[in-house]
This record gives sequence, C-alpha cells and structure tokens, in this order.
Amino acid sequence: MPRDDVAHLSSDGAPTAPVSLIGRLLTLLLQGMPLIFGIGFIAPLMTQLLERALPGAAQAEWPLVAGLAIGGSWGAVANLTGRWL
Amino acid sequence: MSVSATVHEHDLSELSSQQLLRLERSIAEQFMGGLPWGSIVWAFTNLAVWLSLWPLTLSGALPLWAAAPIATLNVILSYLPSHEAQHRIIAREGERLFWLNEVVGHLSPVPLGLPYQAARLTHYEHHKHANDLELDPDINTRSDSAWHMVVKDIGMQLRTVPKTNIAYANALERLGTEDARRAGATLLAYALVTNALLFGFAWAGYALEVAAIVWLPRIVGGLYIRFFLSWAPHHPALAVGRYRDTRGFRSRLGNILTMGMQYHVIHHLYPRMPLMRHPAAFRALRPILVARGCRLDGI
Repeated sequence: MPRDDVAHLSSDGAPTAPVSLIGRLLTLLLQGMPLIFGIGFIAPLMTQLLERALPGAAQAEWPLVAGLAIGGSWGAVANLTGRWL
Repeated sequence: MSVSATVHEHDLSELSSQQLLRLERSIAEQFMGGLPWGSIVWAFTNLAVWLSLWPLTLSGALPLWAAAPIATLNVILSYLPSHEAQHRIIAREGERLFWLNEVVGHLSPVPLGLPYQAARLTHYEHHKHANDLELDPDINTRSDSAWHMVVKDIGMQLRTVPKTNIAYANALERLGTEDARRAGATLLAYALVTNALLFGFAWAGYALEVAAIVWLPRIVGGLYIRFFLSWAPHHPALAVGRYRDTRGFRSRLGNILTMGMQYHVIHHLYPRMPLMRHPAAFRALRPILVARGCRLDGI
C-alpha cells in the first residue's frame, strides 16, 4: 500500500476504498471552507467597506482588524452551525 | 400546407395514442435541426460583456452600481446557450461542428461558475427523472408557490453546503461512471479555483469589485435561474411522465424575461429542439398537448 494511502472501515466493519493524502487534505479544506471564506473574502470585503464608508479610516489599521474579526468570527460560526445566517 | 392545418385536419379524439404520437413527432420534426446561430452569438456576446467588466470595474472606469446589475444579467444569460450544447443542439458527436458545441458548452456558463460536464450529466438525470423525489437533481426547487420558492431557496443558499450542490454531487455519484467522476472532480476544482480567485482579488484590494462582478451576481442570478428554469416550468412538480412532469405557463414578465421557459413543455418532449423555436413549435403542437392533458396554465 502506498505510504499516503489509508485503509478505512465502514460503519458495518467492511473495508472501503482507501483515501489518498490529497483526498484527506481536500476533505479538511472543504470542512473548513466557511472559515476560510470568512477570512479569505468576507474579511477584506468588510475592510474595504469600512474604508469606503469612513474615508478617514483609510490609512488606519483598525478597519483591517475589524474586517478580520467580523469575517473570522462569521466564518467560524458558519463552520459550526452549517449556516451563514 | 401549414403546420396548424395539419393538426386541425385530424379529429384528435379519433386517433389512437400511437397515431397521436406519430402526428406529434411529424409536426415537431419540422422545428428540429439547423444551426442555432442565435444561441451561439448569445453565448459569446454575453461572455465578452462579462469579461470586459473585469478591466472596466477593476480600473474604476465602470462604477460598482453599474457593474453589478450588468454582471447579474450576464450570469442569468450564461446558462441557456450551454444548455443548448448539453443537448448537442449545435452539433452531435462526430459532426463537423461538434467542437463549436463543446466550446459554447464550456465557455458560456463561466460567469455562473458551472462546469459544463457536471451540468450536462446532472441535467440528463433531471430529464430522465423529472419530479422524482429521489432521483431528480433539481427537485429541491419544488415549492407551494412562487414566494415559497424564493424564501425556501434563500434558506437553502444560506447553508454552507446548499442542498442543490449536494443533489448534484449525489447524482454524479449515483451515475458512477468515469465521466461522472471526472465531472465531480471538475465541479470541486471550479469551486476551489473560484474561491481562490475571490480571495486573491479581495486581499489585493478589489473585494468590492469582485463582489460586484462575481459574488453577488451569482447569488441573485442563481436564484433567478432556479426560479424560471426549474421552479416555474415544473410547478407543482407533483407528477411524473412524458406529458405530466412539465407545464406551459404565462408569465407577466413575458417570454424574453422568462428566457423562453413558458414553453418548457416542448423542451422536455423534444430536448434537441432549439430554444428559439419553442414558441412556434408550441403553437403548432398545442392541440395535441391539450389532447394529452398537459398542464398549460394560461398559455
């Protein structure tokens, strides 16, 4: 068996197809996608919205911190509940 | 002899089911074939407009309030040319212009972010099992009324993994062929690449811009597509069978804004008939559809 393959058992104990390392990484990536989306897209979107809404904040650090806080926590909650709202 | 004269010459009630089917097919035959130039031009024009939004919006030449509705329209218009290709209406495998069929099929739905092969295989499953609770990948749009559909759809899309996506993945898994596995992998790759693009542009300082030309249009356009291409022509989606699983309907928005779906019953009867011929074919076949007991709501 290749090193990156793992034998799996189904709920009734029967062996199922092995899952490759790439398969496992993809599963992890998809499971964490809401959180990744929160940080990857919602955070910069919120940052840019704050900077446009409050021109004085354009040079400050806090819109980025606020964006990360909103995007990160929204994504984390979505990850836990399975819903965006 | 006109087509309608052909139908009216017969007293349909005197025909057997087989004779009626033969008459129906002979009439439908007159609307089949030919190159659907309208759909081909539509596909490339729509894609060109959507692609042009990128430099125009990112450079600030086009304001976001203008880009977002144009992109939404592009998303809404992006599916149907690919749908023509899914049914090999432009050309069949082995024909001279099959390459054009495939180019339209792959490129047209790019604004929607839908890979062609996954769309084609799941759409064939929809045709095969229309309104089947277990097997129709589009059954999730079934709702009691138009408002119910909108509310239910928004609820589904707010899930981190919408039921519609699960239904498509399940349909591909059920098929279990090499083509289906490849289509599933492409579906996954499309989703990952789309997200990577969104993240890249957003962190490069263009979050509002990509929200206006990709993210929001796909949410709004997706709802519009599911409403008019799936819910409306199949409502109430309770019956199965050749003359029962689809309906004709009259919309206050008219034929263009419903993207020809008022005559969707024709598409399910003759999937390879070009979309732009559906209204004329419907008028020619209407007496037979009535004789078959098709649901024709006000049209």
